[in-house]
Amino acid sequence: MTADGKSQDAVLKVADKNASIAEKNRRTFAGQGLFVANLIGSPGCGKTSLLEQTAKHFGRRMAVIEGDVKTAFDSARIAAAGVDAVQIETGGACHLNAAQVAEAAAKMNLSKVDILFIENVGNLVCPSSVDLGETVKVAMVSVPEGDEKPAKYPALFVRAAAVVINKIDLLPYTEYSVNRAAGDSRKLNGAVEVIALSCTTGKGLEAWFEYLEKQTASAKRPAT
Amino acid sequence: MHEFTIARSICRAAAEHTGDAKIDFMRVEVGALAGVSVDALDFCLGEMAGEAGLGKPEIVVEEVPAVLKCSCGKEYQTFELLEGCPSCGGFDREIISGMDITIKQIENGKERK
Ligand SMILES: Nc1nc2c(ncn2[C@@H]2O[C@H](COP(=O)(O)OP(=O)(O)OP(=O)(O)O)[C@@H](O)[C@H]2O)c(=O)[nH]1
Ligand SMILES: [Mg+2]
Ligand SMILES: [Zn+2]
Repeated sequence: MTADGKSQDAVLKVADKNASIAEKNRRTFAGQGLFVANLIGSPGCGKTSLLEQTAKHFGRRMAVIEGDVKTAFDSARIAAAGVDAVQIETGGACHLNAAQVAEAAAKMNLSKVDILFIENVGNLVCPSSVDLGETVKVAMVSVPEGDEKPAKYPALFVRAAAVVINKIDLLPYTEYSVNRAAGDSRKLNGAVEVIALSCTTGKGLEAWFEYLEKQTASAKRPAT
Repeated sequence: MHEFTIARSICRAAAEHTGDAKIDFMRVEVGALAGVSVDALDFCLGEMAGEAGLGKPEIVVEEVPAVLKCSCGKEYQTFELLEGCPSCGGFDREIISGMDITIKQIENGKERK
């Protein structure tokens, strides 16, 4: 180390602009009594399908922000299910960011809405570390992907308040162990809610609706 | 692949810290649960440092273990989140750190220790 040299054990936590926008979103959502779920899962795991099914139960009590790299197909599917949806096209980006969510939410009338879903871009890695200001992250996996997803992507599963295992109608055709996926999820987060279901047959959806009803009720109670 | 954006934030933070001086060395630590690829981040930092006015520093990006605190009282470091507490085997634990990206060292001398 030279005399003019400056060595610094800097310990600079890299604060990104996204974090402060996310905190602002979180305060806004909490002020509106909204329960906001950031839905994260691989391409094709069934995120939009789950929201279509959820729309049958919650109707206009829910609204959706759809994130995709390209196209407005998914928001059109949600709109066809009779629910307000705003599409964000990320134009290549692998995840949504808090500013995009703020902008989309500002376009929506959320006064009569209890649950705002954010369907993130299909990806198990990038969205996990980008805070959108949501109340909870919901990790979604599906049977054809294999049961080792929680083990392979711990960064998502330690942050997820709930894990949805979709496509259980396909269990007879695979070696998938729901116990393994659920067990690994619980090792990564002891408080996690694990819900196995099928959007195709409807099996297990009741437990998902129940979970959401509980969460929306507590989001509405003013913070003490 | 959002390491590019993260690299930009890191370069900005470093430039702010040094008052836009060129640097020789920077060490960045990535928590095991940060959800970031160390290799990709290393590559992006190498590409961006010059543009950010940091010169041509040697850059080290290192993955560091998560720090967990078990309900039995044991605090420990690990990369293996699916392994239980080394003391009691349990999984009832709190994440103390492991999600952060931190600049641990910046040097702008001619040599370094
Ligand atoms: N067998 C079976 N197929 C399902 C189930 N849920 C969804 N699918 C099918 O899986 C495919 C993908 O479903 P989507 O809902 O579009 O998946 P997504 O996660 O929204 O996909 P991206 O938005 O592209 O990431 C579709 O062909 C669905 O019909 C299920 O429970 N069982
Ligand atoms: Mg979709
Ligand atoms: Zn222990």
